[in-house]
Amino acid sequence: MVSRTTDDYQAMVMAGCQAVCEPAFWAGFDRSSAQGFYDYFCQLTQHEPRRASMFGLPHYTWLCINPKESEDVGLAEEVLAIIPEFMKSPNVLGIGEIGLNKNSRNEVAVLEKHIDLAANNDQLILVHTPHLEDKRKGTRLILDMLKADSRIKP
Amino acid sequence: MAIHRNRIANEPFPVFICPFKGHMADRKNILDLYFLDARARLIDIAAFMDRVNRAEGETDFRYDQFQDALKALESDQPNRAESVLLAFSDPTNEPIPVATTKAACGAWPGEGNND
Repeated sequence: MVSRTTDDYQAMVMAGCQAVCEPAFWAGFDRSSAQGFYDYFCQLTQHEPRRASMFGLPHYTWLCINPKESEDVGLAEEVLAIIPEFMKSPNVLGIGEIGLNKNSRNEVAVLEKHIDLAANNDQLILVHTPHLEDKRKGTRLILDMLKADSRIKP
Repeated sequence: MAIHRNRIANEPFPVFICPFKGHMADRKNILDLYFLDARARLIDIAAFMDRVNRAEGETDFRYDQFQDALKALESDQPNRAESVLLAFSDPTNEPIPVATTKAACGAWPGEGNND
């Protein structure tokens, strides 16, 4: 598992969680190409659920390009183009975690594209709100964008 | 808090009463539960401010907003936590032109200062 350790997920399941899921995360560095995301999505939809099953963990995942990597709109568009291929995987819950990080114009544009992708493919959305001093403004921007799209049913 | 008497010396001493017997809206119960924790955190804040004072050089926007947030604690309104959060938050409504950093720092650097 990627965003949390196997031990963490095991603890959640032992505590009674019916399923564990992880969002598409920022790796701690900016991936250099859409191919890097392709490999990451393969890990989330094939390798990790197979490994989780060895521990009896019902593992699910979300797909997106994380807001922290959304300043590069061109890369984001390439990544969004490869996501539909992975939506068919049985452990994919939807598009996420999408949202904003520093509340920039490019982040807003990429979020709009994610919302459109989710709406066009009837996918659930998992939202990420910004941290600390950016949270209030970013949460409002995200809510305004979701409310403005009549296809999205909260 | 009840006052019991030491059976040997017949001296009074306070006894902590389990708060679950009381109503959480009772201020004494809130104090019983949280006073020592809040007291420790207040000392931590005071120590932090002492360290800032002892050090050399200038502070920055973070400390300015920290001091603004402290003023919220002196209010008698019931939304001090909200006021503290707002003291550190970006008050603007429009997206910034470009994100030049990935991390948040805990205080708003002001318009055009997102490095």
